[in-house]
Amino acid sequence: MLETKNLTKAFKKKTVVSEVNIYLEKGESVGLLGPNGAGKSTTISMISTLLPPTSGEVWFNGQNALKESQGLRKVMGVVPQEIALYEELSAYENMKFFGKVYGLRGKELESRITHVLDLIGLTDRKKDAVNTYSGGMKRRINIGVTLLHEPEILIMDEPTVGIDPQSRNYILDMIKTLNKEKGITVLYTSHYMEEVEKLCDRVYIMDHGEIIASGTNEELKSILSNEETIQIDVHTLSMGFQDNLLHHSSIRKVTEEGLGYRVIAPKGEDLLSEVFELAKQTHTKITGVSIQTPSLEDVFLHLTGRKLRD
Amino acid sequence: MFQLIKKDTLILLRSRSDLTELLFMPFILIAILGLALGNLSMTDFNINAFPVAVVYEGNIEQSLENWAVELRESDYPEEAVSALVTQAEEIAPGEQINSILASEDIQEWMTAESFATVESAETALDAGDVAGVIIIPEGFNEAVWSALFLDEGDALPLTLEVQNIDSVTSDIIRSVLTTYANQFNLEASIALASEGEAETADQQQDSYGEVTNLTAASPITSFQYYTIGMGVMFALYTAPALASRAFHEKKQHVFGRLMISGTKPLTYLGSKLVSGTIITFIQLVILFGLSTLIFGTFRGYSTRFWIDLGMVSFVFSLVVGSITSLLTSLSLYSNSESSSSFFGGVVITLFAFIGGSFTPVEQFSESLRTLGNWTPNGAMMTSYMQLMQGFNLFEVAPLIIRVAGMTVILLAVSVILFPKRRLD
Repeated sequence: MLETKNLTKAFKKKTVVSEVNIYLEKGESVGLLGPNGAGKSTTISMISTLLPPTSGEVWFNGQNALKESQGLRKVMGVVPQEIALYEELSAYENMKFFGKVYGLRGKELESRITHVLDLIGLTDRKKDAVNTYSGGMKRRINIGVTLLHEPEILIMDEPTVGIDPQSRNYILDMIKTLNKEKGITVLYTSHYMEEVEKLCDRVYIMDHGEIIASGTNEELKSILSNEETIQIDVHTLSMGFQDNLLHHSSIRKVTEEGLGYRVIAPKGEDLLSEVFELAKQTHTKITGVSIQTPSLEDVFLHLTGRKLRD
Repeated sequence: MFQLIKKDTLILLRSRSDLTELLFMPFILIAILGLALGNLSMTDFNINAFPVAVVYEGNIEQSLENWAVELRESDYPEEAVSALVTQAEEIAPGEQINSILASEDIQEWMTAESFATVESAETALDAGDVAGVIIIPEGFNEAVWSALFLDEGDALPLTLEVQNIDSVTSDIIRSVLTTYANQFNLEASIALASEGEAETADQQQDSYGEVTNLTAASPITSFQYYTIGMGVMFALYTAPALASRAFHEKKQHVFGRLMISGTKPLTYLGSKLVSGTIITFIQLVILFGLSTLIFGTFRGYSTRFWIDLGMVSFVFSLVVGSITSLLTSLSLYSNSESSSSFFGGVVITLFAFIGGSFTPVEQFSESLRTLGNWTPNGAMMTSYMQLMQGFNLFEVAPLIIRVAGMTVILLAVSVILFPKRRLD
């Protein structure tokens, strides 16, 4: 349905997106996961036909969307990371304005506004100016405006940044419903791996402007099938203990995680007794140990040596 | 485009800071400046009428005879001499000055007394019996006719002798003569232009008279002056206010959202032009209307004046609309708000000063005055002033055409600069 071929963008001499190849099938939910500055937003801008690429192509239903953008634009809804609304106007006024810009009129427009306001849970506040809304409500109306013209493809650029967990869950459930029940194709970018894991059928992992891995959640996690993650909670963080872990021959990676350490090591190694011994040597009190299944976060860490939110 | 314009207007109406800047501030300044200066004319003072000596060294019959002789001596055919003398009879500058000085309006300020000779008038001046002496020299009419109809020679200057060159009374006498000279020049230019013989009135304006400083024929009150001055100044603020919003539309990706919806980039730019024009026009209507309603600023003016005022305001609104377009293009092109900030912070202040929003431009040097008339607000301010002095739209057309020209150039530049490729 939608495909990019070697999509590249350079600003002056700096290449921010390099030869990105991704595809979306109809009805799929695809995630673009990567840390801040990975090039996700630039990639989305190019796919949305708003930013011309330095090289590469975007194809939609067999047409070059960069040469003939209207076909794609008509069926696409883009939710930018910013609140792309007129905050002095109410939710209803924003919807009416953007609906009319999309060519909707009369009863059809009113009915869609009513439907979308209901979907995003803002019917009661529809007459209030957007600048009086909470962060979560602004995010919801930001998405709602995009849904007015009933897009076939929804491209979302970190739509849950900076909001409370309750609003985030509301939005994620809503997107899931749109994808599973309405069949809307979703391209979702985030640096929150839990969101991508929850929403997306397939995931592209991006770093430094390049796609470094792709596949379903399971396929990606299978990169770590021979490894396991051990979460070691301690009473007080200790540099000595961390160094001991790092220098252990069986341990691949050690990262600080809250009041503890996250360790990636080969499966089957009986490490626990050695870990306790290392802690004892550095007078570190271990308060808990758990062995976890790998997450996309671990995959990213494995591939780049960095955490997603570094 | 209608939706975009409606949205711009709605947002502006919801913004207290913009409403304060565009309507409240100018109105408060009109009130403060107008009340501070009372009903004083910006070009006159309330003083008792004073006597002025007038020495007319010629008379029309003698002038016509002299000029006919001159024409014959220059080998003009008799038919031409007869036609020129007939035309000259219609324009007798010496008589006109006498008649103006004897008019009721002028008598309120100064009473003209005829003296047969310069010597007797100067004696009266020395004795303090008169505040000044106006000398219309012998040959004055003939010189004006030759310059006007034959494009030959220079016009003879009127001579003005006063007790004190810096006094208010001497200013008033000079103002009357200046106004006459300007009106005479303008009317003569239009008369020639209408016969297809000469350049525009603007080009010809200084050709036939020696006194060129323009001052008000009808006194302009401080309320009138500052209603116009503050109106044209604060109307310019509409442009950066709207362009700044355009920049935020891009920054917040609303612009991108509009582009995805199928809105064409030039439609968006056009909406800024129309929004700027409409909002400025409404702003001027409100300011002029409120000022008239509360302070009686333009009360008593004819319907014709109001129509002309509306036309001039529309042209001015158009140029503000085109500045809005240009600032929008610059903001989107440079991805920065600095052009709007610079225009709002520096350019408008500069334009307001040299355009005469704060003080009458008559106090400025000739070059600064000329420069002021090349600013949109300065040109329009002069147009408004001329309308108030009784000129009609046709007579202020050169300045209006100048501003219309600025509009076209500004629009062309804004279209060229407007980014059509990088749209996010």
